[in-house]
Amino acid sequence: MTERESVARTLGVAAIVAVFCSLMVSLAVLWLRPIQLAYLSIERNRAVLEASGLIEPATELTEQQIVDRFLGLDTRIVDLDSGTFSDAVSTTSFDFRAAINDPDLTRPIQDELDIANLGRRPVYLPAYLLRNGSTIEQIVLPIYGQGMWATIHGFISLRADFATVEGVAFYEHGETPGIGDRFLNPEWLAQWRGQPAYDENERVAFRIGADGGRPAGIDAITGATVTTSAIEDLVRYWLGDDGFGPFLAYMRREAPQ
Amino acid sequence: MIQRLIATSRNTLLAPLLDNNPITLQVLGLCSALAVTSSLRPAIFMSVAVISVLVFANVTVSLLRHVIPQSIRLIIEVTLIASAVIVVDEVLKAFVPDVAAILSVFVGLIITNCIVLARVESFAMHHGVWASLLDALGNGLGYAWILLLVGAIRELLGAGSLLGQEILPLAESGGWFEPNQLMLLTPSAFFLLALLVWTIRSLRPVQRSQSDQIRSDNPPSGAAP
Repeated sequence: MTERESVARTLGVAAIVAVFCSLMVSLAVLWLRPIQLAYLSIERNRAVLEASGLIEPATELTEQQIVDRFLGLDTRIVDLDSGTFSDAVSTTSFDFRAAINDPDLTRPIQDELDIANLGRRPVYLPAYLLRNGSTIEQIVLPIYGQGMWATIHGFISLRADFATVEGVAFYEHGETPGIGDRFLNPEWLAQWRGQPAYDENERVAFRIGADGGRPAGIDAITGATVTTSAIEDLVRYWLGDDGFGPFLAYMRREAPQ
Repeated sequence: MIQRLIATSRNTLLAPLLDNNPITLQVLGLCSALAVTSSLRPAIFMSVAVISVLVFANVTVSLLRHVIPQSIRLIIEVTLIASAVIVVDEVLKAFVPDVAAILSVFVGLIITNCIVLARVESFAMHHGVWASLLDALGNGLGYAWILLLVGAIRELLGAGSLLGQEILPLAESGGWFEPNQLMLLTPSAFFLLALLVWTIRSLRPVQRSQSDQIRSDNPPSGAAP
């Protein structure tokens, strides 16, 4: 056995290469992450606008155009525990994506209610109101939940009756490329328009896929069963009593301007 | 002496372009060649990504070739390749996020791209830095021109455009060109690559006999998986 093949030498070379590679990757991420986050926040604003139908999915817009249109919406903060609007946090500085992982701003979800596998949910979340003068035409709400591999993030828009879906858009996911990620197909997403969110008894009525004689509102996607049922679950969670349910019931009663 | 050196260098750089092309002769790296060539733009960025990773991996492994213990040779090579791929992936996500979304997993899969490991293992481990750099560039460009050609043909025939600019006037907007949707699907890349391999091997019988030679030397044993 030559010196080059000795155990000490082998461990030494492995350690040096490992340190060098991890430094290289860390520095690259440190340098690039702010640039990526800036892009992701634009994508998030775009998803709000796509959910409300203000822009079509394939439209090419500059970042400035997206931000300008996004600022045309009335951003409010919803207190999910009380089911009303809240002024406890500032709409401009509140970063709900950071709040999702902040133990101080979240509370645990009871196991039997946690159909979207979230574990914890934030107390405050933003709601984006599309107004025409003093009347609310649509309300866009953030939704997210565990998909096949990673958390799926999106926005759902409800009409002025606060009980009918106007549209949806997803901006972050880790579903299998070419299989699970077919839920991003614009034709599939177009089926969401006009779907009932609640029935006449104020129970969550949103469904994906036909089941036991119940007609299909939105078709399930063949081969992407886990993804589609995860999306159904996360929408039902956020429309439900533990999510935006009480807030939307309040809006249906009061519809404050 | 110097002339011989130049000739060797030129051969290292140019041989992988056609005579020893990683895709058409060695038939490596097909997965990405099929997946990212539906239009020209992702093919360009994929080519740049593979060339960058190849150059980095070949040069670093060549520098370390007298230091790396044989017993952990492969894991060191793969670690270096994987780190380079992560950096390239992060750069794409930061500066061309739309292309990064199209390329999706295929940038990450450069780690398992046989071309990279093949060059590192069979060339950089036994050659100097300069030769390894040329070898990486040569193989990278050999991979790139096939990708760009297939990407250009598919976008031109599948969408009537190149880099998103309309070249052939589309029938739906008053022109004469009816795009062939098949060109946007993966099988068309397979057909185009096959035609390319056929053409090259018809023009260069050396490549044809070589592959036949390989086949007769290694008769298939048992059922293919």
